[in-house]
Amino acid sequence: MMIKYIDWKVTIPRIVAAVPIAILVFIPVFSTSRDTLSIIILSGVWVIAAMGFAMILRTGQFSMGQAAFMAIGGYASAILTVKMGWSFWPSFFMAGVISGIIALIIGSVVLRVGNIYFSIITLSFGEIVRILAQNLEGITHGARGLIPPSPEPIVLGSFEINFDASVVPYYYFMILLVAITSLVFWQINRSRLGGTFFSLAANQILAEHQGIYLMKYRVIAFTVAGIFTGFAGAFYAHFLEIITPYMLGLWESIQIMIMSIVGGVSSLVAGPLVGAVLLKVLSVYLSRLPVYGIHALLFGGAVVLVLVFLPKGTGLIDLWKKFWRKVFNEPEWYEIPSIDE
Amino acid sequence: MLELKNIWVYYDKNPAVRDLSLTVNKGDFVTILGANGAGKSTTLNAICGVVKVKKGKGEIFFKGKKINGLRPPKIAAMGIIQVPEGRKLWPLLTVQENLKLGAYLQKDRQKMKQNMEKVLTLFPDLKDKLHAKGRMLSGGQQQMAAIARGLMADPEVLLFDEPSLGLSPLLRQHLAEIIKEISQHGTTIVLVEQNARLGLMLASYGYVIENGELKLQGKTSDLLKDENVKKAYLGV
Repeated sequence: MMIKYIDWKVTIPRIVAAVPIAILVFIPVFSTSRDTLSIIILSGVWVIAAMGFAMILRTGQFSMGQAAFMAIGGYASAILTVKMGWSFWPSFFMAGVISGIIALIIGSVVLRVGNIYFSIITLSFGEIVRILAQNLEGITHGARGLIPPSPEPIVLGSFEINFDASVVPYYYFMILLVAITSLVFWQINRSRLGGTFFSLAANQILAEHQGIYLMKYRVIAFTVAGIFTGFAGAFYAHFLEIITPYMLGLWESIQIMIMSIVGGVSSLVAGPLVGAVLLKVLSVYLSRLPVYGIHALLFGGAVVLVLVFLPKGTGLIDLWKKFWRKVFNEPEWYEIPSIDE
Repeated sequence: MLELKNIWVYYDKNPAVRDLSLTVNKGDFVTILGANGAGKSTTLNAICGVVKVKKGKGEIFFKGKKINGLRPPKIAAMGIIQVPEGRKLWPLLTVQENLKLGAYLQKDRQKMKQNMEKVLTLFPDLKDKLHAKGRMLSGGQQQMAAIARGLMADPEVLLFDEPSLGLSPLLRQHLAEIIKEISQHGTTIVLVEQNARLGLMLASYGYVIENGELKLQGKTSDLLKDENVKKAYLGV
C-alpha cells in the first residue's frame, strides 16, 4: 500500500479555513432569524459578482459596469416571470444565458479597444442599461420596477421546500450557487485557461508571440463573468421581490470592484469571497447606526487601507498566506540574485 | 522559405525600414547586422506581424503564402516564433509555466512532454529551476529560459532578437554554442545581433542594414573579410 504523505503546512490552513465555511453552512440550524440570514444571502450575491470582476481583471481588463450584468439578469428573469408567465426555474436559467449572450456581444466589440477605454465604455454601458430600464415603460414598468415572484415550491415526496415560508431555502440555494460558481472559477484558475488569462494580462505582445489570440480569451473571461453575474442578479431580484433601474447602478459596480480588490485578486475565489462577505456584512450593520453615509465611508476606508498597507494587487487573502508562513516559520520569499554572471 | 520583398515599415511618418528585401531558405542560418536604430528589430517584428508593413509597400511570404497583414498569433501558428529582446519572461510565472505557455500551440500533450524533455536536455541548468519564478533567475538563465520557451513550440523559423545583450563573454560563448546546436537540428534561424562578430561567426549568410536600408549582403565568410564591415562593425 502506498503511504500518502500529508503536508501539514497545506492541510492545517485548509482545516482552519473550513471552520468558518462549515459554520456558514450550518447557521440555519442555530438561528432562522430572517434578518441575519438575509444579510448573508445578500452578501452571497455580491460574492458572485466580485468573482466575475476578478476574472475579467485576470485578463488585464478593468470592468466598471459589472452591476449592469446583474441588472440584465434581474430584469431578464423578472420580465420572463411577470410578463411572459414563465415559472421561476427556467427563467432563472435564461437570465444567466441572456446575460452571457449580451456579455459576448458587448465584449467582442468593446474588448477590441481594451485597457482604459474598456473601463470607460463599460462604465457608460452600465448607465445605458439603467436608462433603458427606466424608459422602456412597456417592458420594464419604468421607475416603478417589476415585482418578480418567489420560486415555486419544490415537492420532494412528502417534504416540500417552500420559498415563501422562510428564508432557509433561499439560504441553501445561495450556498449552492456560490459553491457552483466557486468550483467553476477555481477550475478555470488552475487550468490552462487560467494561465493563459494571466499571461496575456502580464504581457500582451509576448502572449501574441506564443500564438495566443488576445480577443478570444478576453471575450471568454468577460462572457463567463457575465453568465454568473446574470445568475446573481436574477437571484437578487427574486429574493428582494423587486427590481428597479436604481438598484444596480454605478455605485453598485464600484462596490463590486472594491470588494474584489479589498479581498485580493491574486485568487479568483477566496479573495472576492472574503472581500464581499466582510464588506457587505459590515456595511449592513454599520448603516443601521444613525450616521448618514457611513457604509460608503467603510468602502472608501477599506480601499485606502488596502492600497496603503497591501500594495501591488495584494489583498486581505494575502495576509492569510503571510500569517501561515509566519506560523510555520517559512522564509519570506526574498529574491536572491544568483552570482553566475 | 521566408521572403521579404521590398518592405517599408513606418513609425508615424518616419520610415524605419526602407525597401528591404531578404530571403531565408529552409535550414539557413541568417544574421542581420546593424547599429542601434538601424531597423533590425523592426524587421523581425514586421515578420512576426507586431508592426505592420506599410500597405502596398512590400510583401512578406512564408512558404509561398503572403503573411503580412496577418495577426501575430496566426503567424506564430504557422511556425515563426520570436525570442524577444531583453529576455522577456513572465516574471511572476514559474519557468515551467513559462515553458508550457511556449507550447501553447502544441495541443498534443504527449508531444509537449517530449518537447519539454528535449528542451531540458539542451538547457540542463533549467532543470532545477523549473519551479522558480521567472524574475528569480539570473540574466543568463532568463535568456536560456526564453530560448527554451521559443523551442517548445517546435518552430520552423526561430527569430532571435539580440540574445547576447547584456551577457558576460563566457555566457555569450555558451549561448552561441546552443544556438549553433539548434541550427544543426534543422531549425531555420534568423539572428539579429549588435555584436557583429558573434553573428558573423555563427551564421552562414549575413545582411547588413544601415538606416533601414540594406547596405550589404553575402556569405559571412566574405563579410568578415570586407573592409567596410571590418571598419564599421568589427573595429579592426
